[in-house]
Amino acid sequence: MNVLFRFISFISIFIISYSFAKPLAGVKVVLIRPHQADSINIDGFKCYLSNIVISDSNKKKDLNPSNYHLLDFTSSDTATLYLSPFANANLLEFNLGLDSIINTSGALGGQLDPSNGMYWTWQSGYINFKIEGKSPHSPARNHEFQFHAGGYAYPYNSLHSINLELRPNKSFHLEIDLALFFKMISLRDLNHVMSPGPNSMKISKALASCFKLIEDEK
Amino acid sequence: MKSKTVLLFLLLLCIAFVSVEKNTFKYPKYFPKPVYQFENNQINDLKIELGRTLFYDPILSLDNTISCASCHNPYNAFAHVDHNLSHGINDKIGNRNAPVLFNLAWHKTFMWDGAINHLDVQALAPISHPDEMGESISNVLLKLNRNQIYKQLFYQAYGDSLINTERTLKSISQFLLSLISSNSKYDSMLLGKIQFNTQEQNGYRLFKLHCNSCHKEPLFSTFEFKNNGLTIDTSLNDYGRYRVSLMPNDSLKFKVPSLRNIEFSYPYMHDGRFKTLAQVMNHYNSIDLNNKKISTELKRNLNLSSNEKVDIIAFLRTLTDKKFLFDSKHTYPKNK
Ligand code: HEC
Ligand code: HEC
Repeated sequence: MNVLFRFISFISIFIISYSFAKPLAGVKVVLIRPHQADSINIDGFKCYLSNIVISDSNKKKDLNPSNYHLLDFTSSDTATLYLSPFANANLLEFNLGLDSIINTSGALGGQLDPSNGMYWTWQSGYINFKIEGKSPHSPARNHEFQFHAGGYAYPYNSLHSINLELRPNKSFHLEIDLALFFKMISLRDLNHVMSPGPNSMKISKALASCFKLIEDEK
Repeated sequence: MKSKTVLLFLLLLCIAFVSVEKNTFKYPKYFPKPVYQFENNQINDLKIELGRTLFYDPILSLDNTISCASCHNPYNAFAHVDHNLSHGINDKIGNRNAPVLFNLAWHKTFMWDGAINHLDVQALAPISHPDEMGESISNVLLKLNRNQIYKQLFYQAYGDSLINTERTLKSISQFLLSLISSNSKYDSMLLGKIQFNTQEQNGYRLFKLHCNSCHKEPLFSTFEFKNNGLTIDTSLNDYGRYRVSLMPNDSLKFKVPSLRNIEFSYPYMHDGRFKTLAQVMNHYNSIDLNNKKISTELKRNLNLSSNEKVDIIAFLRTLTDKKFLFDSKHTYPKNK
């Protein structure tokens, strides 16, 4: 019985993955740091993007197979987002952060593994993004700032959906403009966010407006 | 295409078969349906045993001195007896009383304030808390992966020796889920096997009148958040559910605890402020009706006579489950 079960599941997993497998296209995501003159040093930036959907003008949608991406800019200013290529696509939609279903599903693996350091252990929930660094503008200890944003429960849901228009068959990359983020957030007034609540919502909204789609010149 | 459908069907059939074979989560007919979703963590004896080993192993703490059982003692229904506030590594004192652990499959949230939303992520809290086990889950994984006994136990439970966060946490959940207390005198009475004496019977009647709205039978909790009229301890300033929800209405609300095995899980309340059930009864009998924040169920004078208080306590003692308290299935594992 057991052997039979293993054999059949092996075969069917093979068939299923074969029919769904599509070559993925890597889209470059570039972190834009604040200008030198602003004296804001970013030591770490990580964020979750989820529920990525690409659609065309007929509203035909393509849901990506692996739909949770942890982008980590700790050691490089670029990361790659894998999307399934879609002809005639004119809209790219995704969430900054993870939805409430993921947040209440218990222990998950892979990109969602709590050992990735993007999980609040004392109050269940994922950290949607982390921005950490130093700046003389921050009056906190050692002039540090630490933004950990998250929260999935009403009224402090900090998930944001982002829609970016595409021109069909044009290649593009994404930028996350942190220079813009620090124009919206004054480090003098806000330099530590470590839990869900109004401040988490505020910085999430700010970061969501910093995503830009840039067409590659060719 | 057709063959794929057939295979898929066969696969589903096999899954159904296997799950029936392995699902051994048993509970009395008069319990409601569990909240825990077993389809994502099928109960299995080898996983329970692995979870039990982890529960009693100080390897989960930074300096290998504190295990889950250091604060959750099996002989006290897994509460931290004699300590009003829990003790962690380097004798650090936490800010809450360690609660009992049983019938956890019916909890909607965990902790006194419901800060934890799923049993599978519960263990992350004490492991990472600087005053409890002071460790990180990634370091726990490193330690477990270096340990041949765990390699073997994970192999037996999961079919390969991969040790990751998900398996570790789900195994701990399996052990916690296996802690079911349903063999008290009260249960025997419900099943018609025995009868209460007059004192217990009267206590039961009063309990249903005054306490059952929150400590609801047969689990003795609704697992909701309520304010039972305790005044704030200004050395702790613990506002309960408010810290999680940030809703002013939730200030000083705590999760209603189950009263099963209450005789053995002293001291009482989130900060362990009462040592005896008599003190608890005196609290409920002298609630300040001017306190606007108190939950509606308690906005009345109970006017209990001293005999009535004793009767309620006699009833509460019928909730003691000796079989559970001394069950060798969930005490310190023998193989260690
Ligand atoms: C240092 C003492 C300590 C240690 C070690 C400890 N706990 Fe706890 N536990 C507590 C306290 C205190 C609470 C209540 C905390 C709160 O409400 O904020 C608690 C709460 C819980 C709860 C929630 C129960 C409920 O009714 O909501 C569970 C489940 C639990 N612990 C399991 C564990 C497991 C599993 C471990 C080992 C990985 C562990 N504990 C280690 C002290 C401890
Ligand atoms: C409004 C809902 C409510 C009612 C009614 C109520 N309780 Fe409670 N009870 C609670 C809450 C909430 C707690 C935990 C409070 C805390 O720790 O801050 C609690 C705690 C307790 C505890 C301590 C449990 C432990 O593990 O520490 C006992 C014992 C208890 N109640 C007995 C009773 C009795 C007996 C009655 C009836 C006279 C009663 N309760 C009525 C809500 C209620």
